[in-house]
Amino acid sequence: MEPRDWITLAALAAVVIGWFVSNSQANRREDRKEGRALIDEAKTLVVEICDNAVKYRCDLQSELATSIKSSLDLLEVELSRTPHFAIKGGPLMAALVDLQEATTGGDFETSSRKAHLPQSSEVAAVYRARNTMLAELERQFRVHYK
Amino acid sequence: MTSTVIHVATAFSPAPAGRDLADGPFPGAKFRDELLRPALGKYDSVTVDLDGTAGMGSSFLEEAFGGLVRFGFSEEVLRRRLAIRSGRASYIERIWGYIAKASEAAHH
Repeated sequence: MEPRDWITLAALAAVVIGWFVSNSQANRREDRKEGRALIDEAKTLVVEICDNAVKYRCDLQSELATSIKSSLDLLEVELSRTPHFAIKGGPLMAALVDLQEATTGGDFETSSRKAHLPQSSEVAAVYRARNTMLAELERQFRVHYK
Repeated sequence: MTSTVIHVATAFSPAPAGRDLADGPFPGAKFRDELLRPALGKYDSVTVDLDGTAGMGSSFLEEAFGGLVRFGFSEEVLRRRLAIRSGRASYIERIWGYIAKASEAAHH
């Protein structure tokens, strides 16, 4: 082969390699954007669920029970789109289970339930579970999408 | 080995809620006493299918499944004979968590 043939080959190789690198960076950027949108959507749901759970517990707004349960199911659908969500003992699953317990455990949907004070341990548990979940969602983004 | 599957949504209710009969028509205690305990008494293996329900609160799940331990079923027996089927992995985690917690409480 002539020297100029090698130059042509090298130029072609550079184009192909450049294409792969650029394509890979574009894919990573898209993954990050989608991951960010997914995490933000999940965080919005978490805040909404907890706001409703506190109203349910403090103001006895019974009509919120179905919405809380249904939104928790929807949250799990969203979370299942994140990598490694369903790993047994995984932190995101653990945070979800805590959130479910704080919002729908205890005297949830029982006839004997009483209105809780805003400073009660039940309400504190809701906020604690909320903050743990929000922090874990951000951690998941850092680990899997950055 | 005999086995059965209980589909909660069709055999009991698509919207189970609460702990006992004072809480409503389809509480955890009713599911446990009218469906789950008889099935465990009759079959070697019982699968509970949770799909098709409109969300279940922890209060229902704890009463239905944690309550099995309070009625004398050990965690070891339940792990051998009871299976939970659900598209929502968290339900399975929660149920086994309630059974483990009730078992721990029973030993104290």
